[in-house]
Amino acid sequence: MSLLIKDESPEKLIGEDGKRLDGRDLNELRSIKMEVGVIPNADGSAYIEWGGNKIYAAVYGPREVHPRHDARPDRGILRTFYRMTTYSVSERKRPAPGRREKEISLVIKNAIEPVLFLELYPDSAVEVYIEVISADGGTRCACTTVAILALVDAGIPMRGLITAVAAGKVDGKLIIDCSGDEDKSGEADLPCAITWYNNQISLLQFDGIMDLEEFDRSLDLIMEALEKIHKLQEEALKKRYIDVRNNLKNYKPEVVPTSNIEEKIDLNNQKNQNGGDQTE
Amino acid sequence: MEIEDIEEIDNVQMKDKEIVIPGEVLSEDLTNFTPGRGTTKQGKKIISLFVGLKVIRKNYINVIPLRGIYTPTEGDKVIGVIIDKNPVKWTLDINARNCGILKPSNTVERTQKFKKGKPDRVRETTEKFNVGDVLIVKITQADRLHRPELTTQGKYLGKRNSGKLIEIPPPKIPRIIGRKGSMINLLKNMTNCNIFVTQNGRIWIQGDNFEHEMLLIDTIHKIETEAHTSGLTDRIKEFIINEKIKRGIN
Amino acid sequence: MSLSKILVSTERKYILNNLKRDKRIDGRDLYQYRDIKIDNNIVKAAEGSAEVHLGKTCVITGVKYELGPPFPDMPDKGVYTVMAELIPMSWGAFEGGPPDERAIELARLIDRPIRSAKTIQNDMLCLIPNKLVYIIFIDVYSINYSGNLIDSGAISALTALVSSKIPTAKIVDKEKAEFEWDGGYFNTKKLLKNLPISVTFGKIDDVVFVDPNLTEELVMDGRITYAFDDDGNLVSLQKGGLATFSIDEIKSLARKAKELGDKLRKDLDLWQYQNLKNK
Repeated sequence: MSLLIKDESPEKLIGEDGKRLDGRDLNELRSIKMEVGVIPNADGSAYIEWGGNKIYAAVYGPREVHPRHDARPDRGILRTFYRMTTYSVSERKRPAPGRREKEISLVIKNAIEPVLFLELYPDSAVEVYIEVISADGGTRCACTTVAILALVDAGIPMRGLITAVAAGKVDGKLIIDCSGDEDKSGEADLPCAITWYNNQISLLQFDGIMDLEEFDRSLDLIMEALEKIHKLQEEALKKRYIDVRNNLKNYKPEVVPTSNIEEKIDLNNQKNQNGGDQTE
Repeated sequence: MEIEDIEEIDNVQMKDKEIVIPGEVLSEDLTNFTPGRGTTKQGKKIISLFVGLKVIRKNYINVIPLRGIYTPTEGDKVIGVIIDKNPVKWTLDINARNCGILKPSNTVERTQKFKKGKPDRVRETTEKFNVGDVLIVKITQADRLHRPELTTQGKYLGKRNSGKLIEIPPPKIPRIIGRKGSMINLLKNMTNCNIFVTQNGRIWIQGDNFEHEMLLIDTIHKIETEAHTSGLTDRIKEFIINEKIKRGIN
Repeated sequence: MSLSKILVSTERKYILNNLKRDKRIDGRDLYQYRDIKIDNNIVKAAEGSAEVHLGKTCVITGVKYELGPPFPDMPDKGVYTVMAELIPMSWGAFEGGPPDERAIELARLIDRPIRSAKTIQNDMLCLIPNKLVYIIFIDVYSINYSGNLIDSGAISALTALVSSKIPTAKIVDKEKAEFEWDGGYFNTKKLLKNLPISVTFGKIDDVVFVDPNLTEELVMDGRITYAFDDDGNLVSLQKGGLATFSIDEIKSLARKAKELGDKLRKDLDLWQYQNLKNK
């Protein structure tokens, strides 16, 4: 029915010192942490912590399409499922996906699809499951940013990464990366995603009020922020492999080199043309 | 990954290969370089399509992917598991995006009689195998649009009644085999296990005892995580020796 | 990986042969749990939350509350419900859509020990009898399914409850059912009495083992879940799957489950996740 503590939005979202409620500058991003390969069952997966947002993304596929009539004979299809857990928002969300979740799923799908080479997988589906564990404003941008990492991890060929971020307007000032509070009581919200291979915008929504000059300036703010997030994405993708190497940096072989073993092995026995190898 | 790729990565003297991500510009010099596997031309640049290792051979720039699914290729031997059957065909999961189809006529043994032109009088039904059975099959036909056709006629092919099946990302399979089969021989000799490695990322193993099998599985997973590093064979050898001492097995 | 969702006949043979020699495919003993890792307070918006890793299995549970009318048969008691979602993200064979039989069975299996042991003191959750009570939602989500969601789900539900910060209310006007926050929170040490621990055994052929992992769960014939409260009383029991158990087996397993449950309770020490800010 109703909640005890009502959401008390503060009157001013930007303090006297020009800082935002969480102490950020107007053009400062929240802290972003990304990790790849977090769900062992999935073909590819990623996790993002973006301020108070905690989001998992998992990719399954390319695999056969069910129901079959959804399949397309000329190209693979991409399906995205943006879902929120019931406890991710302050008022408990109903378990069944609502209109908002379906719309955002579509928006994310349309943002991602242009960079994928789905024509290589006719008659198949690539499925991206995104689960918002904790939401704190700007989830659609965080989801787009993390979904592409999961797709890279699944080894789906693509032209390049996608990064998304939102700009907003609160107390008449333009800000980047709105938090939950700023989202709710702000005057405008402009989520935006870029496909890096051609520097074009593939996700763009806007609600609120802004004049055209402010709109131009927000896009500049967005571009600046996107570059920063893109760097973090690159690092997260490479980190997994570079860490393994760094751990081995200090490795010094204590055992005799392999050449001694190879003498023992009759190399003529090997037939690897087909990758098959058998000792029976 | 091909044998030459492994040689390049495995060469201890050489530096580790650069790890690249999709969209990363590999070269802007289109006169001297040509986009190879795992890359594409984007405007006047060569970019990577995968997260993988950048390998330059002659004037080709290739990217060896580190993740990805198996694409069925004609002539490949793969390990499949039957997931469905009806009176005329079996459907096998071969760890690719499509299931493979095995028809009873492709499972008939080529006996002496068969060769003389008289096929043995086996009724062509799908009673022979059941759902859940592990089969080593060869792909006889594969294209992008149809489900791959499989056969069990051939050396080493057929049903496996025992043993254990493990799965790793298919792009890492060449490292399990190693340069000229060096890694797989090392594993076989040091763990006394039978190993059958197939390109679709599956490995069938059978050893004389549980401890050896466990050691082998752990070793395979170590190779999987360190697939992109150099000097792997030496490290794996050391790992097995140390683990044997730790676990108290021969 | 696709192998994780299909039934492999050699796998069953392999697992069974080794089980008969007291060996598990992941190197555990027959009666050994995988490593358990618990994190709490992971969701800001939830009143309580917990992330539990049991080996590769990962479950995240959140506790939310609402105020609403009680059930007519319990006019002066708060309401609580457990929901479990087996989301398709966590395993290739789970399908989207409304919860299926498996998810509902899981939710009920997590719910039953909590209800039988009277864990939640639901008379504390009543504001105005017949009119206004707390409704507590315990929602369990599987993030990665790698076997034994029952035990991990139960632990995460309890941890989320223990760490929850549910605001207390005072009545302003009883007739109009007006109320406001009195600035405090429920002390979960008082709100919760008893933390029942579930122990699930799997059975293949005639071998029984605890805490099945994904491969074992796929090939096993059935399972049996016991739950014991703090005082060592049996509070819930469920046989699942097609396996059958003999009377002697059920009796001896009950004792084994109690022993394992006691050890788990001591090792996990769920009360440590209580938020200290609670009054």
